[in-house]
Amino acid sequence: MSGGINVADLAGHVKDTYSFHFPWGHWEIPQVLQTFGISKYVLLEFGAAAVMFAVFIPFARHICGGKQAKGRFWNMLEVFLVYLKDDVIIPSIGSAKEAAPYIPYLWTLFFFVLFCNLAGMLPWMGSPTGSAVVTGVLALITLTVVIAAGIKQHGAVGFWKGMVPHIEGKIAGIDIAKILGPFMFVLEVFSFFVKHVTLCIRLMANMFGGHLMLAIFAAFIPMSAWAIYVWIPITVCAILASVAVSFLELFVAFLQAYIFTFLTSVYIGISIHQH
Amino acid sequence: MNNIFPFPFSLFNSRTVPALCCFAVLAAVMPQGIFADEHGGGQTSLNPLEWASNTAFWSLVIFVTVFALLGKFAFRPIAAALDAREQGIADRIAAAQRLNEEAKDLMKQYQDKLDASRDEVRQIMETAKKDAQRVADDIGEKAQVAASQERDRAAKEIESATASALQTIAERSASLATNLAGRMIRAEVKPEQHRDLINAALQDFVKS
Repeated sequence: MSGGINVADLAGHVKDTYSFHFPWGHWEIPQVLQTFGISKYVLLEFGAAAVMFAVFIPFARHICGGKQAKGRFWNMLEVFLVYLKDDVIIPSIGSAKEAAPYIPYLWTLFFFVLFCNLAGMLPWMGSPTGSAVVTGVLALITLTVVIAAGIKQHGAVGFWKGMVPHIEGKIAGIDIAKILGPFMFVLEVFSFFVKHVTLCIRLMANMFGGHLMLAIFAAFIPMSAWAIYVWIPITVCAILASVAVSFLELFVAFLQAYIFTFLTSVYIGISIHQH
Repeated sequence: MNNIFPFPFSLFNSRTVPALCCFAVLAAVMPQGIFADEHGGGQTSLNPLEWASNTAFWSLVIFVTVFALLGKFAFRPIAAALDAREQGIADRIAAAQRLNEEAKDLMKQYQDKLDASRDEVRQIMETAKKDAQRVADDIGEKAQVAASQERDRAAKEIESATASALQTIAERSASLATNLAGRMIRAEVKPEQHRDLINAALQDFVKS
């Protein structure tokens, strides 16, 4: 067996590095940028940001003053924005008035996650959201926004106190709330933070898992190169499987961006409307 | 860029965003040790949970900057434009509904007027029929009366003419008889003459 899975080679396709792997060779990120800690994922995030600027600022000019968007692309974009606003954000947070301050943040979040996810669909690129670091930062920002939303609504003390559900009743003349309250508080605070950790892990795991699967399918091809009668069917199967998984990844890219945004909206809604 | 967002987004304003960017640059330049060799020199592993300060830092900076700038120059204007359009559509729907209600009211008014007109026409028709019937009855009665009067008058005229004729006949008969008697008295008349006289008298009577 002449082939074999080299973990470093696989990792190069699904992990953050300081180089881009092309069929004709590797492109090392310039040392100046590396000095600033700019890696492949950071460059791809800059790319996602640039695409967002290139898309949404012209779109804002297109529809300013209540004008209608013209053209398939702008209409598609508007469908996304209106769907998120009317069917995801506002119902999750409560009312249009309550949701209004958070709509720009949630739109930014959705499209940033989406474009980072889709970057992985480009040949020789990668998904920054396949890194727990990137999704962790996004979850951390969401956690900050959720806490800020709760504090704005209920005050600093009210927000943390409001995490404990209202308990009525007495046992042996002692108020149950006084007994269970501290335990409930610890449990609820723990649950609150875990929810945001799951936000990070869910997105990372989906993107990382998908790209790892693609890399493994691709790795079957050199692995089976030791015998031509095995290599041909395995190569065909690996390519077909990669195409199928790529379609799945495309769907997952949209789905995970939606889920991240939806759950963030739900968490904001929960922090505004506590128990 | 001051106060462009409500709290907590108001944290990202014209002062904090440049400050964050400066912080990013400084943080990237100064503690090079933090970022150095985190990915470049070490053995690459497949652990997706591996921490990377540089990626975390730049992800934070990029996302916050994107949010601050796009929020100001894209998403707020887009949200305002969508709201304005929604409001415009809602206003137009409300206006259309109002016009629809007005049209329905007008329709109902016209329908009522139409129904009233139909009733009026029906009443007019009934009145006209009654009037026509009455006129017809009057005309019939008058015609009957006139015909009766005419018949009576004709009968009277006939009666009068008959009486007059009878009187004339009587008078002529008397005159003829007198004349005939006078002729008979003045001359002896043979039976043949007598017959001729009578015939002549009769012819005179017919001629007269």
